[in-house]
Amino acid sequence: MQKSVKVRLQFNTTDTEKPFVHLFATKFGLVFSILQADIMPGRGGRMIMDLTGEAEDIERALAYAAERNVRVKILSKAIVWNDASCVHCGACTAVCLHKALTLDPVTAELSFNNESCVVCEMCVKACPTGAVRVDIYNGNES
Amino acid sequence: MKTVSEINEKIKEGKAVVLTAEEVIEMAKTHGVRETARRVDVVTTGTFSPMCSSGAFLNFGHGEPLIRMSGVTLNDVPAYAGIAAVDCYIGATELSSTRGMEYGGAHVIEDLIAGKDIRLSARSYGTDCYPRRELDTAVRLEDMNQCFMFNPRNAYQNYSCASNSSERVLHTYMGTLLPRCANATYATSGELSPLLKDPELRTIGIGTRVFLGGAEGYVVWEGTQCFPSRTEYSDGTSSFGGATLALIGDMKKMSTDYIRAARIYKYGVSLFVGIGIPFPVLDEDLLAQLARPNDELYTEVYDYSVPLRKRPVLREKVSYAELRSGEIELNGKKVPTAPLSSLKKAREIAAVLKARVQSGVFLLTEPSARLQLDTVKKPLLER
Repeated sequence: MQKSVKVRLQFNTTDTEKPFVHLFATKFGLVFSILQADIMPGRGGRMIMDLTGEAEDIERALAYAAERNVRVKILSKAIVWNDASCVHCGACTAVCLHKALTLDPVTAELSFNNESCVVCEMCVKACPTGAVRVDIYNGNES
Repeated sequence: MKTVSEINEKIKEGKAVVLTAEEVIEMAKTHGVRETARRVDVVTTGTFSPMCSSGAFLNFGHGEPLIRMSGVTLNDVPAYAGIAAVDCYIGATELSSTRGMEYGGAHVIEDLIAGKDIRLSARSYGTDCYPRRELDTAVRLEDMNQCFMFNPRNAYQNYSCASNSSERVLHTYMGTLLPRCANATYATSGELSPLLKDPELRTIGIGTRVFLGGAEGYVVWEGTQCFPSRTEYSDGTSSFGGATLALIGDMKKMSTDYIRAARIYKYGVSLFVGIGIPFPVLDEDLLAQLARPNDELYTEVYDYSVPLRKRPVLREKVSYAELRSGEIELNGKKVPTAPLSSLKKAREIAAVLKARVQSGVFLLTEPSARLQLDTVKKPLLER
């Protein structure tokens, strides 16, 4: 089964010369996208990347990195809607193409369906009262 | 048929029949305009939308020694201090000097109404009568003297729907407009919207008592850019638009349920203002207007990708019923729509106002003067 995960890799001072990203692609056949990288030889550092591939290949790749002293953390993001600060204006629905945020045609109340949300984060910017925000929570650490 | 004072007598006796605009529409559908006009005395309306032309006059009281504040910031948001010693005007759209579009005058207003401490910093040049040159203190709304919201332009009668035919995302005061007309936004509460229900402003004038931010407020003048107009369509229908109101009200009696700051991405800060106006059912003509439903109220769709005085019209006539349905037809394709004003809040305001009128605490008013409605719209001629 194909899946995508967002991971944070933390490198020690001595790990920085190992070509993990190259190996993720060649050894495990993963498609990667580097979202953030801050690594210096002799200092170590961290990298946040999106990995897409077969679920078991991702698992094997992350285990491979963990065995070699790289601290791996799976990051997850979710849109969180706060009913208390929402004024139900509907501005967020203008940009929610997946219809996760919708106004009820009868009650005119906003509701959020997490299942339809693809975390594109357009609504976070479109919300005038800060009632929609993105939460980054930590998944399993390996 | 009825006068405002007769209606007020019925309100005082607890006998007035008060309906919200949505309720009166239903009644008129069932019983007809004539019968409904006979039965109903008052119709309440409501709107809750970002209204940029809003702000508040604040009087802080005098500290010791005296200062004539010449520069004022509230939580780092500059306020206009070119008035008397400890007076200022905080405009809703003014941005924080430290936080930019994250926080502005509207947030200061919301925080004051919420009872929060606000940091007041003032500078002065010092005079013999006002020697002090600097001041920095926390202030709260309840500790100040008069604080009244004074909004030069509120309650737009009608507002055009916005779309974007360009190839890029536009961040506008009408929200985020997606490329190639992939969405369209609109900003009135339609059949609940106050000035759409008395389109010729027969009952509204200077001194009309209204619901403003939860408190009682008053119409003080026609709003800035008040240019009432009537559009006649080829099918015989028509629509009204262009009227605005300048409103005043006691900030100390307002609630954050009905006044909220709005952050509009890459545009700036605005203020959600909750307004409700009760209309006396004077005769059948007025009732016929009050009972006009969303499918008889119209606006036009403009292309916001052209930032000129005369934006291209994408569609000349669209009903609020179609806008409310969630999609409209634009150049032969279905375009999803989204409101920017809260229908839920508008309903709440109409219902709260109805309860206040029914209980006798909110009486209707005869305006002390008519608003000037024959003004000609002038562009700015640069020279």
